[in-house]
Amino acid sequence: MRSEEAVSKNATTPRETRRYRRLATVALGGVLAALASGCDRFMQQPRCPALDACGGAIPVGDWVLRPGYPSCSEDIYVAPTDTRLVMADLPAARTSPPEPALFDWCDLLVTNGGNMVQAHPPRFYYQDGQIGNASIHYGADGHFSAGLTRTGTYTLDFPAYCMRAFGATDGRPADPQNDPNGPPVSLCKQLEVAVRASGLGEGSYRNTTCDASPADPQGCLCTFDVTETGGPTGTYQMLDSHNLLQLPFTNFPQRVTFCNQGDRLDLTGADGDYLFGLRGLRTMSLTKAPAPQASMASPTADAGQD
Amino acid sequence: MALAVSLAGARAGAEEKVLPSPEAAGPASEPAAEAVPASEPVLASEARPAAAPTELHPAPERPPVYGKRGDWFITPYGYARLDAIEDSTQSFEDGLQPSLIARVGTYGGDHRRSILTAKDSRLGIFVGAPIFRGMRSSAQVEFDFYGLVPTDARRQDSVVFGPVRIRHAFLKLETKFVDVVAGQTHDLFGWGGYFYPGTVAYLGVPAEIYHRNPQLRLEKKIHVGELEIMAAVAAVRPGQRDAGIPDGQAGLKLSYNRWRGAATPGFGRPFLAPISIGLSGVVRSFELPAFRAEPGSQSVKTTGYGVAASALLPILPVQTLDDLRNSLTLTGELSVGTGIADMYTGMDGGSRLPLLPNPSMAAPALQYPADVDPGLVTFDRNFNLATIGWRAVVVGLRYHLPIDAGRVWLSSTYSRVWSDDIKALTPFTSWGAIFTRMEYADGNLGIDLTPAIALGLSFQTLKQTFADVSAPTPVYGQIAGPTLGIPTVPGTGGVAASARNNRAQLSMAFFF
Repeated sequence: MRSEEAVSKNATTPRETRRYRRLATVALGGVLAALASGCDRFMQQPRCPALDACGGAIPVGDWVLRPGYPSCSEDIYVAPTDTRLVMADLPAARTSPPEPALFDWCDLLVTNGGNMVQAHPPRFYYQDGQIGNASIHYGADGHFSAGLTRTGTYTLDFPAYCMRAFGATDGRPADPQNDPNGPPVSLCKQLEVAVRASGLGEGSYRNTTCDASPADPQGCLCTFDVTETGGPTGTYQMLDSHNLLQLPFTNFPQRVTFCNQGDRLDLTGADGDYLFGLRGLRTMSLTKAPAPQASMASPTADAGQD
Repeated sequence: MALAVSLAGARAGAEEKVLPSPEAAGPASEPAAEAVPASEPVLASEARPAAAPTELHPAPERPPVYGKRGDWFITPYGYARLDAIEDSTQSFEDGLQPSLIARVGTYGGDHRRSILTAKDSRLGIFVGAPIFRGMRSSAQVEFDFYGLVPTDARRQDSVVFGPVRIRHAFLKLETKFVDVVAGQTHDLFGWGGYFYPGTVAYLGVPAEIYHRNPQLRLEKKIHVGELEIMAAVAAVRPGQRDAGIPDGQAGLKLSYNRWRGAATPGFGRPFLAPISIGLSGVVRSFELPAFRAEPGSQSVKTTGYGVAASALLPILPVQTLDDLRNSLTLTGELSVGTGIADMYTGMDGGSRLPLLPNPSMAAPALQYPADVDPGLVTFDRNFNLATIGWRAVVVGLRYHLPIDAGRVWLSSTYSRVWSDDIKALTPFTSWGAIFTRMEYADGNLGIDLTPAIALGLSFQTLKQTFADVSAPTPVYGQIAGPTLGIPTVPGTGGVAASARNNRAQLSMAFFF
C-alpha cells in the first residue's frame, strides 16, 4: 500500500504539470500527424521490390529470363472455385446461397470400383506457380508477345476415404482399358495411370507419380510437374523514357517501368500492376536471347520431363 | 433521487463490465427521464402556458412494480465515443477480428483504409429494486451500435445509421445462499470483464477470450478474512444450437482485498480491483448430420472444451481512484481449448466445413446441410467430425504517470493465439485460406482531458501466419537443354506465408 508519505513524494509541482502537458501535446500532435500522413513505412513490404526503372532505348528484340533472377511473384492465394454453384442456376427465391466452405478433401477426384478407377479427374491444384521460363519479344513494328511458363513440382494428397470409400480396391490392373490382363497393382498405381493421362490431356501436367502416403497409408500422394504456358500479344508504345504502355489484344492496357541496359532488361509492373496481366507477377529480369539457342527449341517443346 | 438501496453484489456485477459502474457515475445518477438536455429546443407554446388551467391534473406517472419509486435505484450510463483509425491494409471493419489480413500483392493488402466511427458509443441503464424479503435484485441493459447491417446497405449507411445491438441484458438476484444471474452478459469462461487489458483498441484484442452469451449462472461468494473466494457455474447458449445441450461453464476466482490496484478494461474507466486469479472452463457438445448430402437421421458427435487461467496483479497498488499516480497493473490470460474459437471474439481462423465429395458427379455439386457456425468443428481427412484446437496468451500492462493524479497513462498489450491442428484439419487446397498463428501487440497513450472525457492514442500491429508456404525462389535453367525451365539450384523462400496489418487509432470518449 502506498503511504501518505509516498503520495506526497509523488506530488507534481505546477511547473512539472505544465511540462508534462506540453509533452502530452507534442505526443498527441505527433501521432495525429502520423495518422494524417499514414506513414508508408507501416505498409506491408512487397516480396518483389521494384527493379530499376532507368528507362533507356526501346527494348526491341527477343528476351529471356536472366539466369539467377528469373522472375518474382507475390504470394497470392486464390481459392479454388466453389463447385456448388458453377454453371448452376441461382438459388431459388428465399433460399440462401450455400455457406462458404473449404475445398474438397478429394480435390474433385472421384474413384470407384468400376472398370476405371478414376471416375472424375482431380483438379491439378498448385499455388504460387513461379514463372520459370519466359520469352518476350518487342518488335520494331510496335508489337509485342510474351510466352510465360509456370513451372514447378507439386503434390496432390488424396486421403484414404477419397481413394476407397466408393469401391476402389487394390489388386487390379493398372490400365484395364489398354491392358486388361496386366498384373495387379496397388490402388495408388492404378490411380497414377489415370491421373497421368488426365494431366497430359490437359496439356500442362506431366510426370505424374502416385504412391501410398506415408502419413496415411491407405491414401495416395501424387506428384506432378507443371509446365503451363501462356501470355499476351499486342502492341506497345513508349509512354516516356521510363515507361512502356502495353496494349494486349485480350486484356486491359498495362503500364510497365523498364530499364534497358542493352543486354539486360528489367521490367516492373507500374504502380503495383501485375506484369503481362499475370496474377501476382511483379518483376522480371531478362537478358537478350541468344539467337541460335532460342531457335533450337520453344520453351515447352524441349522440357524433357517425360 | 434517493439512493436508498445498497446493492453491493449488483454493483460488483456492474464493475465487471467495460463501462464504469453506476457507483462511478457519481452525481450524474439522476434518472434519465428527469434530465433535460441543455440543447433541447423548447417551443414557445410549451414554454409558456396558454392560459391558467381550469382543472389541475396530476403529472402522468408509471407506478413502480412494488415499493416506492424513490426506493428504486435507476441510472443511465454509457459513453459517446469517436474512433479514428488508419489501417495499413483493407482487411478489417472496426475491430481487428475475425477476418484474414489481405496479403501483400493484392489490392487490399497494398492499400490503406481510414475508419471514423461512433458506433462503439454505448448506452445502458442499471436498475436496482428495493430489498424484498432479504433478496436484492437488479438488472442491467446495455446497447451499442454494432447491430447487423443489411447486406445491401451502402457503406455510408452501415456506418452512419449504426443499428442498435444488445450487449447486456440480465438480471441479478442475490440471496443468502447463492446469487443468480439470468440473461445475456459476458461468459463465465475467462471471467469476462474482470481480467481485460487496458488498451485503446477494441476489446477483445486478438487471442483474448471476449464473448457474451445468454446464460443462467449461479454464483457463490465466500469471505475468509480479506480473501474472497467466488465460485460460479452456468448453463450457457450452446456453441451449436442443434447439439441440443447447453454449454456448461464453471469458474473459481480468488481475490485478496487488501492488495488493490487500478484495473481498466479496454478504453473504459478505471476501477479498484484486488489482486485476483481466476480459473474457468467450458464444455460443449456438437452433433452434426453425417457428412453426406442426404444423411437421413444419422448424426456424428464430438465434444469441445476450454480452460483458462487469468490474473490481475496490481504491481504498484493504489488505494483510491482519486489518485492513480504510479499505478501499475498487469493482466494476463492463458487459455487452451478445442471447439471454442468463437470465444475469441468471433475468430474462426478462416476454417469452414469442407465441400462434399461428389461421387455421383451431380451438377451443381452436392451440398452438405451444415448447422454449425464456422471455425468450431470440421470434418477431417477421414471424414470424422473433429474440433479445432487453439491456445492463446494475452498480457497487458498499464501505468499511470505521476501527472495530475494519474490522468496520463501508458499501456501495452501482447497476445498470441495459435493452433496445432487446424492445418491438418484443412484440405491442402485451402491452406491459403486459414491462419495457424496470430500475433498482436499494441502501445497506448491515454489522457483524461477531464474526469469524464478521455483521449487515447494507440498503435496496434497484427500478424497472421497462414498455413500455405510461399513459393521457393529457385534459379531456373533458361538456356535450351536438359535444365530448361527446371529449377536447378535450391533457392530461398518456402516459408509460411503471412500478412500484417498496422493500425493507428485515436479515440475520444465522454463517459457518463
